[in-house]
Amino acid sequence: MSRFTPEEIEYLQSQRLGRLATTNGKGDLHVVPVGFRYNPETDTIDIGGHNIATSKKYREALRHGRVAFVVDDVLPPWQPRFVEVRGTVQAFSEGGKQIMPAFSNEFIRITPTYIVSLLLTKDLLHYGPGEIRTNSRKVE
Amino acid sequence: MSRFTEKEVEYLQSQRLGRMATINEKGDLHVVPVGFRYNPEHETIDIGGHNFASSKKYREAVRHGRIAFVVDDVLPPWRPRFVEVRGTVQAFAEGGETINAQFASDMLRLTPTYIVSFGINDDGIMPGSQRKVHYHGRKVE
Repeated sequence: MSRFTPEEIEYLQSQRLGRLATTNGKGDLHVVPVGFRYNPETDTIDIGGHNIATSKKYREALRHGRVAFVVDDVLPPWQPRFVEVRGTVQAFSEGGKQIMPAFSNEFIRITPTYIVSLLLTKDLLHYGPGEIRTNSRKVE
Repeated sequence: MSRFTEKEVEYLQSQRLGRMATINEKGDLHVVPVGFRYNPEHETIDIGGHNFASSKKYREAVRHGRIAFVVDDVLPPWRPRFVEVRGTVQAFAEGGETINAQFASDMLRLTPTYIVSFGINDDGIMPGSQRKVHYHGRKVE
């Protein structure tokens, strides 16, 4: 059984860019757009890039061991959607080109520990003043 | 002298959503889309939302005092561009409605200490190209 719902997987597979948040040893934060792929075999988010192994995000992700990642967009007229994945990180030296052929071989894999999504129109219905219902849960 | 270039300001003013990254006391990260406004008076990024003060991002930002924020999109056929702002955060009890009329009064103000942009001041680079990437990264005060 997947950690993600079928709607979340469908959404992740429909988008090409996400944003990866990392932190350095001093508590400074960094967030940057990245190319990614939902990996159905491992049920993970695989993230790559051009020369990714020399990037700040890669160094920080490996050093700290944890990241947060979000894919989001807005449907007209104004329906924001997103899937946020928080989790642990591993580096691989082969496989980055499966995310995008022009990417480096190196890539990082996020194994989710917590997922939050806001995807369906009914989630946006206000249950109280300004309350929005997200689907949030710990995963293993 | 502005912390942002003219083209960065133009870009920030053309976009409605950014993504804000925070961290809790245990070192877990959080990143989420947010409504924002470039504030030309203070040269800051003002961030708000519905029920903003009760959100995880607000609590974490105020507790830690530092966040990162990015605005990005992709021009067709495949030209990504972004402005990333790292900096310090202050909370205000008034002003959130100036970001979006439906937002709560509470807002956060991000004062930049470091700005990176890509594909905004020039073409950056096309994926697959061997050309050097042109990041515009610099400390600001």
